[in-house]
Amino acid sequence: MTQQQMGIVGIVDVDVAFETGTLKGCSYFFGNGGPFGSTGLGTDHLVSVVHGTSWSDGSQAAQQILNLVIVGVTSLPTTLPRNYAHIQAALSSSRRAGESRAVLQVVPFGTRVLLDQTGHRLSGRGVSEDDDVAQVPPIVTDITGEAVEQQIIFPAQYGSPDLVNGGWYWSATIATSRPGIWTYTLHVLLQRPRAGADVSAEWERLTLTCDASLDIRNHPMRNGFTGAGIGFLPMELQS
Amino acid sequence: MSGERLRVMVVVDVVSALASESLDDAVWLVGSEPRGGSTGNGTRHLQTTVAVGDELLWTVMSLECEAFASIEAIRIDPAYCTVTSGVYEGTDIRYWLGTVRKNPGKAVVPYGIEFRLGSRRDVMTLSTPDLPSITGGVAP
Repeated sequence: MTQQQMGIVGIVDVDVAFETGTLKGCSYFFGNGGPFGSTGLGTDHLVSVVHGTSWSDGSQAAQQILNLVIVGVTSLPTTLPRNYAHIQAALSSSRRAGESRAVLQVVPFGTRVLLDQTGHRLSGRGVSEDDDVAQVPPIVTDITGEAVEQQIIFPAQYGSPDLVNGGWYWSATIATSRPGIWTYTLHVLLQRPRAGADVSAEWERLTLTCDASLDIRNHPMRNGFTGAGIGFLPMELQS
Repeated sequence: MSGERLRVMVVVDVVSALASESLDDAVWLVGSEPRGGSTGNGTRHLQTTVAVGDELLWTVMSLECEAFASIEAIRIDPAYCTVTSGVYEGTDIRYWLGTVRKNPGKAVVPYGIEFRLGSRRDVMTLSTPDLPSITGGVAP
């Protein structure tokens, strides 16, 4: 059976997190479970309501799926291609080389490419705190906590085959047979170019944690069209 | 113009907005705070502290990547802030750029946002009085 997948989006002010050494007060989580009772939207502790369903004997009827993405507050929109920075780097290299057509030149593997918030490449100059750098999205490196230990959620990191950049997101299946509030902890890696350093040289890294909760609820399975028990839809049979 | 560039990410629960035909409880704003002093971050009532010459950059983010969302307009008093739109080169992903022309001082200058969501033909607009805003109180 199919259900709307839960989507959680986190927005982190990466610069403030580096300065304060915590994600508290500078991270904002949202989920698409707002209409279904989730709370804490827009705060650093999201409580996602998960409406599980059960058969008449109480056994779990279906699992929920949770998807998680985190960006920096000045990161580029996630609707841009994940390798947009490298496309821009290749195009700008082509222009500098005098190519009249947009010929993509190969950008060496592992090259750090920084863009400003309107998508223009920053290069060849020192990157300071005042520069308009689009924050590199934080990376979730692990999900732990009682929800994982108690096998309420089974999280895993997924990624695209693109080697050059992040493309990671986390997804978890949720066992809904045990109602209650279960907490989980996100481990988040923040990265940014060191103030004053050349864009290709020094980066700072910081790993921080952030807690969130799942409010698992369990209801008997019912027909979404009729609101009654499961069974055939009240439609006339074609003769 | 010198000044800070402040980012505002406008988060939209597109499915909820289309299902309920309302942006209530479906829009939140998250802003960067190079100047500090902003309030209401993470809510619809984000109030951003600005100074003359600052630029505000608005982008939209849908909670679900498959759901289309676009900002069609930012409506703000042009005496305080003039707004243009641009696209990320090579794409049709739009951003909105506002330049602060006059320090609001203690005044709170609200702004409205118009969205195009999903395949809905008409735009949806944040309703007054529940609006984000800019304010001054910072020496340029």
